[in-house]
Amino acid sequence: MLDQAIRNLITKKRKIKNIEIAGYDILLFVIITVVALYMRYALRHVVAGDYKMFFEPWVATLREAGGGIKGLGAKFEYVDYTTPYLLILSYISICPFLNTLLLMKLVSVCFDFSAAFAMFMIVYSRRKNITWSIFAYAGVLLAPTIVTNGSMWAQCDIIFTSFILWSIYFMLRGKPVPGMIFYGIAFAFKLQTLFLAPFYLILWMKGKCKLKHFLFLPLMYFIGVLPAWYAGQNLWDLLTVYLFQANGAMDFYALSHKFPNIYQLIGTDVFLYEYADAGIYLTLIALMVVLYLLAVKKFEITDELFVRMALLLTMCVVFFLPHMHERYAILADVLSILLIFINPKRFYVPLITILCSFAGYTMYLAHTQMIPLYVYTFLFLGLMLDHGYYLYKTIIKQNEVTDGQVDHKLTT
Amino acid sequence: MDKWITNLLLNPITFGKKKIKIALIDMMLAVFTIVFGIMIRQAVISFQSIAADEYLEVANAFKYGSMVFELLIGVVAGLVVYRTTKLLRRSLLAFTTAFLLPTIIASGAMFGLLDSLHLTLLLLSLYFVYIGKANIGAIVCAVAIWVHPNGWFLVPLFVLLFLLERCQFISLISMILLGILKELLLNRGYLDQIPIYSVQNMYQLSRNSENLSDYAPNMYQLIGVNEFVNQYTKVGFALMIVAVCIFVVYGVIQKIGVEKEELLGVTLFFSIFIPFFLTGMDARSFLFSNLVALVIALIQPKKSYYLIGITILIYSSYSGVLRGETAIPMVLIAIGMFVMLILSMQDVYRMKAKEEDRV
Repeated sequence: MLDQAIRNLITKKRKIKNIEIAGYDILLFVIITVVALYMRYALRHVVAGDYKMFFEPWVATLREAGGGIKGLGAKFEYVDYTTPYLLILSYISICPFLNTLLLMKLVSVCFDFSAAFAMFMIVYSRRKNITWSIFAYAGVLLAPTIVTNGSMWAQCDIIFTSFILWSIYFMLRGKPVPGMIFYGIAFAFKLQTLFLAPFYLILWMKGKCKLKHFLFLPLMYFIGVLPAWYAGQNLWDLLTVYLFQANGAMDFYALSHKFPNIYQLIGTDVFLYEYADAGIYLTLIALMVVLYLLAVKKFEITDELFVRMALLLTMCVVFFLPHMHERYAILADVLSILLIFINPKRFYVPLITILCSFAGYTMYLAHTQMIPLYVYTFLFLGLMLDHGYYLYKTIIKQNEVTDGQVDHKLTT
Repeated sequence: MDKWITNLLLNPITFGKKKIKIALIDMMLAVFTIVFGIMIRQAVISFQSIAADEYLEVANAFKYGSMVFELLIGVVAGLVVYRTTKLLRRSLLAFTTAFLLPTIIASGAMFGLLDSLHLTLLLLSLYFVYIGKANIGAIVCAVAIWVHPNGWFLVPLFVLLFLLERCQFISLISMILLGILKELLLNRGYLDQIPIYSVQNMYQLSRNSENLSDYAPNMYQLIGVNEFVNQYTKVGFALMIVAVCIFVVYGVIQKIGVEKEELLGVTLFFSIFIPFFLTGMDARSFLFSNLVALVIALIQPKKSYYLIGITILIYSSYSGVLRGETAIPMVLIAIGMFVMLILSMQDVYRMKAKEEDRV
């Protein structure tokens, strides 16, 4: 009797506002959330070099300047973060409870959950299945790079990533205005948001958004810098933070910062200036070629095509661009997790993507390198080719159907 | 507004008597290719592969001159692709890829030895063979041999074409004799005053390499580059000659090289095979195979693995010369090239088998 009642409680599906939820869904959701929180709690005391070298002095400077919005008026020796994140740090600096490190990690953890919830919503909007959506939620929360990035390293890459996931959610639902607003917010936080800019251009070419929607990027950025401007900072300096970052002024000492990209094949320690410039130009023209190939073909954007296009373009950028850090593929990590819930046959994609990303994390955090990074580079390249081949095959097939042109066969 | 812009970009405009249709986006790609190609070269042009003062005087002329020939490589690659696919966009992509190929860029702007000249000639020679004018191709190949010894890599193809009655004996023998004459003149020092030869000579001296292979991803990286240099040089050369003869005879029996597809396959095979077994090769010796792989990739995108693989392998070898050591062990790069060689051999065999099945 009791057994049956428990079984019913766990397996019986109940309808709440047209959504069917079983007891195991709730149970699973709770377990995943608790485990995810526990994992982050277990890592809370780890202090990474970045924190000591950058974040701690920044927070101290913000505190000296008064904290909060007032703190944004502080004069930094060097800082390459934009106002929105500095504002968070500034409030952290005057927070009366917990220490700075824990508060910083707490902020990232909140955004871990925001990203996981965005993933949940994306998968639910496509599959209409709560269980799958919870799996996706778990995928983000338990991904090694996501766990490590915020709660171990105290980095904030998940903030812009979560906003991009929300942007993707709205773009997939055909709502470009909120989609581009979220993309703009992500841009206000981090320059790496632009890794996906070519993808949004493709969406524009295919009529999924309008040119005017791109104005949300500068608009959100401008809104983001207002507190610092109000606090007395020079507006021009605030608007040109990204120019300083793009120059790679702080990262010039290596062509790749433990990220398994093309520079691991040719050496990361010589031709620092020559290859840096050449690499940027090469990336730009490589993206142009990919954009060109996608723009000239007529095709319907399916869910898998959508995610793989975004993945390929993001991976192209981090693969060719110089000065990439080990954390910069976080966007590719979450997009690859999304792919598995759109096409489970691609289960190997997130495994390899995260494996490649995490190799750099291990090198930075644990100072160990079990396998040479160039091995991961080949794995990463293999994935890019897999995405490229899928796009080629799908688009060519669609073109054959639309205009009967078979242009990939050799005519002798 | 959005529609108007996308239409402006994508809708083709008709040009000329042949009614060639080109869209604005195509023209933009061509322009950006040239602009970015030049910018990339400009970024790395300061590197000097030879420290000698005599070279520094002519370095810029060589490097900027190389750019012009690299553009020509792009054009010829585009022509070969257009001849096969009749797709303008595909040939534009061939141009773009060729002009932006990192190995070609580094060869011209960093090494600065005007490799692009003999590569242009070799590709042009292949183009003439491709359009059925093998005799002109042989003459162009002879010029390529005069410019650089790597021109010899295409000779086995002409021998094969002669035996398959696609090329005349007089063209073949003229090409070979001209090549031998050049080697004789060069060995006796008659050509030393000509800049291209003096620079090639300066480069050899600057490398001061007594090894069997100067960072060329070939067989000698697998067996050691320092030992038995004199013996292996003779044995390697003899082995290569015999192996080439066997492949040529096999090609004649199987009539390989009649179809265009086979022609590219055989050329790729020879351009990998010869530098793989020949001693004294350097990192740039596989550049012609890189270009042939590019053409193949643009004609048959499913075979892009040749282009990607060979490009990575060559550039990884370059880093040995450019920074003193390779990031990936040279032995692994050589194994990678060996895999490419096996694949190209298998490809030629499969092409023939497929054709026989059709018959």
